[in-house]
Parts: sequence; C-alpha cells; structure tokens
Amino acid sequence: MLTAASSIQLPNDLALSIPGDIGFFKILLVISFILHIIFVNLTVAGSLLAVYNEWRGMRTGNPKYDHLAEELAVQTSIHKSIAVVLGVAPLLIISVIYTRFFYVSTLLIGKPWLMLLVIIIAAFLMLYVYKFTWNHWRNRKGLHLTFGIGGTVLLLYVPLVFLTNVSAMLQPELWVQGQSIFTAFFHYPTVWQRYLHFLFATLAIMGIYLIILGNKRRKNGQQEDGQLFTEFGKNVAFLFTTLQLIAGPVLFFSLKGQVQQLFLGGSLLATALISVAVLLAVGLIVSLYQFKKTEARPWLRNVVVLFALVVSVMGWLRHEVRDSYLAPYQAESGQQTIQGQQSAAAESMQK
Amino acid sequence: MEFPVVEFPWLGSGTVIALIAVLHVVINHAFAIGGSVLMVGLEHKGWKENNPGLEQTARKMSKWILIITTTVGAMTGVGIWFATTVIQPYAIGSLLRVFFWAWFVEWIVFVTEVVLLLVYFYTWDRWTGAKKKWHIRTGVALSIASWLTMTIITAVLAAMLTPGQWVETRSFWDAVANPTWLPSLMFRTFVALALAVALFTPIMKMIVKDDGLQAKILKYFGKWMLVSIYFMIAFGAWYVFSVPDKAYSMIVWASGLQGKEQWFRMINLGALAIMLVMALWLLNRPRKVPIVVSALVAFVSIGLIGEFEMVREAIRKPYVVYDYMYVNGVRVDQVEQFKQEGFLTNSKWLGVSNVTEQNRLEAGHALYVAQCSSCHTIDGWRSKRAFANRIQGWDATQLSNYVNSLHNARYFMPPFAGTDQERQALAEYLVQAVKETSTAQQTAAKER
Repeated sequence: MLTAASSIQLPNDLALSIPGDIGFFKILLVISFILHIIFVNLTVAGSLLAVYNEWRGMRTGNPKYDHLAEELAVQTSIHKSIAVVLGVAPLLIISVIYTRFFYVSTLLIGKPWLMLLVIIIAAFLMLYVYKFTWNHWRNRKGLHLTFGIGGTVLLLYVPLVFLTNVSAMLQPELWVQGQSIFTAFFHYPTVWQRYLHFLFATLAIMGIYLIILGNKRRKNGQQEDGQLFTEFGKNVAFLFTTLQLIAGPVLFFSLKGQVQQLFLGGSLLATALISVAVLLAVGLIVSLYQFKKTEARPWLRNVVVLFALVVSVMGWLRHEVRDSYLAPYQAESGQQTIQGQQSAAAESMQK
Repeated sequence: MEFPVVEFPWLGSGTVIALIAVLHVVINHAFAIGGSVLMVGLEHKGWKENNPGLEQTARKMSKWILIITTTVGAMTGVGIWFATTVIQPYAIGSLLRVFFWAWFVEWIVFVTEVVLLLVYFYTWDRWTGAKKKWHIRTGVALSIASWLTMTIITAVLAAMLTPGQWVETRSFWDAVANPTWLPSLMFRTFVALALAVALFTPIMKMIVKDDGLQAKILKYFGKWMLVSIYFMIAFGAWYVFSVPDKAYSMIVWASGLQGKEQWFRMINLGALAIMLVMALWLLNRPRKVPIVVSALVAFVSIGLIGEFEMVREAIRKPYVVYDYMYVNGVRVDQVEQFKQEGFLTNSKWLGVSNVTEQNRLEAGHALYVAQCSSCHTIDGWRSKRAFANRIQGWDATQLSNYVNSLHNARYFMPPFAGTDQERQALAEYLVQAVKETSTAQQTAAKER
C-alpha cells in the first residue's frame, strides 16, 4: 500500500513535555553523537582494513601485513563494544527532542530497522570468530578471511539504513508508506552522498588512529610495530582526508537548495561554520602531507589538534544542517511542546 | 493517532518484543550480572587459596561473558528499544520523556560497564602478582556496574506496572521510586545469581576436566544458589503482593493455565524444588550431580524467567503504562475524545479519515491495525489472540455489540476508542477477514 507523499502527515508531539532545555539537549546530542560516531568509524574501518591487510599478506606472502591485520581485528573487537553503548545517548536524545520526525522515519523502515539487530549480532559474532581463530586457522586462510569479509560486509550495510533514517527524518515532504528499504535508499536524495562521506571519514579516522597508536608503540619500545602502524596509517589518513575534498562538496550540493543557501551566505552562523570546517580540513590535509613526508613530531601534534577540531566542527555542522531542514516544520502549527522552545541556534539560522 | 503502524501479521507484535526481551533478560541476568559475580568470586577465591585452576576458570568465563554480552546481550538490549519504538512508539516515546535523566545516567553506566569488562578481559596477563588486587577490584566494579544498569532500567519497567503517584504528579522521582521498583529489583538480583549458577553449572561440568577443581567450583556455585533461592522467594513474594489487585488476580490467567490453578502451582513449585535440590546437591556432593540434572535445571530456570517476564507483561493489561496509556497506545484521556469525534479523523497514516459507505472494509482494516494489532492477529501462531480462531462464526452486529462492552466483559481489554459507526466498520472488516482466512485455509487443506 503506497500512500501518496502529497499530504504531509506530520505527527503532533507526544502529550508529555520534554524534560529539560532543548538547547542544552542539542549540545548533548552533538557531543554524544561525535563520541559514538568516532567509535563506529574505528569499528567499520578497522574490520575493512583488517580484511584488506590479511588479503594483502596472503597475496604478497609478507607476514607484516598479516600482523597488522591481526592487530586491527583485535582493536575492532574492542571498539565495536564501545561504539554500541556510546550510541545510547544520541539515540535517546534524538528520540526525545525530534520525536515527531524521527519516529516516523524509523517506523517507515520499521522491519529493516529491526533487522539491523540480527545483522549487527551476526557481524559481531563473525568478527569474534575472525579475531579468536587467527592462530588456529593459520593454515585455513581462505575460511578465516571469509569470516572477516562476511562481518565487514554486514557492517558496511548498517550505516546505509541509519543514513536513510536520518535523511528521511529531515524531509517529511518525501515520506512514503509501504516502501522497501532498497527503494528508500534511493528515495531520499542525500543517502548515498552521506554514505560516501561517511566511508571516507571512517578510513581517514582509522588512519589517524593508527598514526597515534604507532607513535605510542614506538614510545613503548616496539619500534617495528610502531613503524608498521604509522606507515600504513599516514597513507590511509592522507588519501581519504584528501578524498573528502570530493565527497564533502558532493554531499553539500545534494542538500536542499534552501539549506545550501544558508551555508552560502544566507546565515552567518552556518556560513562561518562551513568556512571554518573547510579551512580546518585543508589545514589537516597539509599537516598530514607534511607528516607523511617528515614524520616530524610537530606535524603529528598539528594532525591531532586539527583532527579534533575538524570532527567537532563537522559534528556541529551536521546538526545545523538538520535544524535548517526542520526549521520550517518546527515553525508549523500542531507543534505543542517544542514550539517556543526552539534553540537559539536554529532561530539564528533563519535570520 | 500520530504514527505509521508496523504490523507483524503471523508472529504478532507482542511476540517480536517478547523474543528479543526474554533473550536479553536471560543473557543479561545470567551472564552480565550473575555471571560477573561468579567469575570474580572464583578469581578471588583462586587468589586467596593460591589455586591457579580457579583463576583459569574465571578467565575462561570472562572470555565467554565478553563475547556473549557484547554481541547478543548488548544488541538485544538495544533491540528492546528498537522493537518498542517500532511496535509501541507512544509508550516508549512517553517513557523516554518521563525517565530521560535516568536513561542518560544509564548511558554513562553502560559505557562504564563495557570499559570495565574490556579492561578486565585484557589485563589478565598484565595485572598479576602485586597488581592482582587491581584486577579483582576491576571485576568487582564490573559486577556493580552491571547491577546498576539493571537498577535503572528496572525502575522504568516497574513504573509501567505501578506508576504510583506519577499518574497525578508527573514527577520524575515519583516515577522512579514507584511501589514495585525495590521489590522487583531485589527479586531480579537473586534471580540473576540463581540463573547464572543454573546456566554455568552444566558448562563447568563440561569444560573443567580436573575433578577436584570441578568439585570446588560447583560447591562454590551451590552456596550462591542456595542463598539466592531463599532471597528470590522472599523478594518474589514481596513483589507479587505489591502489584495492583487486578493485576494480581490475573497471574494464573497470564500464565496460560487459567482454570488449572493446581497445575500452575505444581509447575512453579516443582521448578523451584528442583532448583533447590540441585543447590543442596552441589553443596554436599558436587561431583555427583549428573550433567542431565544440571542441564534440566538450566532449562527449567530459563523457562521460569521467561514465564515471569510474560506474566509480568500480561498482568499489566489493558495498559502499557498503568492508568495512563492502553496497550494499543491510546491514552486513557483520549478515549472520550475519540468516541465523540471519531478515531480516524484524529489519525494520520491510516489512509482513511472517516467511514463512508464505499470504504467500510478499508476503514475497518485501519481501525484493526491501529487499535488491535499490537496484541492480535487475524491469523497467527498464538491461537488465543488470532481472530480467525476467536470470532469464527460471529456476525458483524454481534461482534460490534460485543466490542462496545468488551472492556467490561474482559477487564484486560482496552475500551474501543471510536464512534459507533467506526465500531461497526471494524466488526464488518474482522468478520470479513476471518471469513477470507478460513476459506483460504479450507482451500489449502483440500489441496493437500
């Protein structure tokens, strides 16, 4: 049963009020989401790069790749546990302050949303097998790699559903009932652009993490490991941070025209944010390039500082995009509790 | 109503939540809470008695606790939330608002729990000798954190059955300190310990080869189990006597053994008795406990906790949050409005906004989906809830009249929230749907 999208069926808010200041909740949302997504990034990229390196080791016969892969698999199994629990706060806050939007977008993909549970459990179990059988299955590399690939492919599917949900919640004018998830992937105009941006970010963050980890290992006297991590990490980080120069604009220009306008001079805050984000990103790329060439400590420090800044500003930017999309709906009638409590940020966006 | 409805036509919505929730409770209680206590207990005992075998066993346990709790355990926990969002959006949405800060603290406790578990698991080789006490302390902290996660979420669960003063005051603290929070928390604490012993005993019998070591472990388990059973019964009784009278009177019915009170008593007392027997057996002749008996106790305990959760959910009917919201998401204070103005006019996403001569069946279907499908199916595996079974042979007028007084005839049913015309449309749709189902079944039977 397909229901036409022409009449927007935006729900009224729940009868109970939101227990706190919405502006404060939004700050918590941005911070907790950044924490969550960093560990998600480390999990997805960790398994992806583990599989890649194991395969590279099998192909070249060089044991160092296999060693790197194993380290990555161990790290991934730690990061994934933290990623899951860190997700509780952003999910809680988004459910509470954007109920009218987020519940509909979730319910429209209700069954695929529930299927994520099965998929994530399967992925995690496969990745545990992958990690714990590394030595046991030394002579059965094909089988071993299959588990790694299986877990990774499942993990790569998960963000697509999440991105479809968060894209859908922003565009009530596109809501359609009775759509399959695969149709929905293509129905909302920013899903794949977000996915590309996410994938590159994931790999870039893992690269930077490996640089830091390599540096730590070297300090602990594990020269060889340290060298291995740093070498691989800096290449990955530089490549994928630079590729964001493509993925970023691709995503930006897939946004709704009115929202783009806000970031191109329409709103001071939005324009300032995106300008700062781009400048910081370019600074990060330059620092990564210098570090790649020289491996000098000051550049490493720059990388770490600029990375932290880029992630923070991007996390905030993402939130401003959300509120820009929702602003016209938030202002609409039918809003019972959110109305009048609009965050200063969202209002200033419209000015 | 405000949101789209997601239907589970054969399984039934309740079953989807129940499957995820019971799996979660078994893992959380047995592995995360009870299991951590047993694990750290064994490690401590091994350290005190200088018995490396005990420590090795604790280490093995920690690997399985890590794997299971961070995969199936964690994801079914999130899963209850996902499932209730899809199936009971009004209820979970409201509870998130009432308990927002409790949930926020829960987030911090969750993260702490996982970090402690990871630290505990990855420091077995590093924190030895003089540092051993730090490893044990981490384990103790892990047990406490695991228990705290339950402490918070139990407040929410208990408030759904006994919101107490909250219904009037809407105060956060009234919701948290509700009448069944403490008894149910204490009850669950000892259930978790007993369940952990029940599930880990057969595992120990299989993986610990050394007879002396096995006896030591099982005896230690026996102590925990014996103590837990006593407290479980005591706090269980306190809990049962704190639930609302109407809910109390529905317990036997909720277990599915209505009219067979004898059976209900025998089954439950029998299950407790067999657990008690095993506890004593473990304590006195640990090596003599047959693996079959330990497996049976494991099975029985899972059955008991499953039964408990199902009964707890069922005796809350007709509410999802007692005295505030019915199980189909309609608030108590909305019923009159929907009866006056109509349910469909006040609803989105159903594709129908009023009953006309042309759309009666479609309107009836919409009403069924919105007001009945959170518990019922047209055809489905739970025959008591499947209309194909329940109302076969009824005609629409009969059914419509029955629906009108449904909540009086059956206390656990919410009142129909809509106009007379809507009620008639619902009845017509149900009669028609049941007819179609039985025709389809007959055709299928003939073809076979």
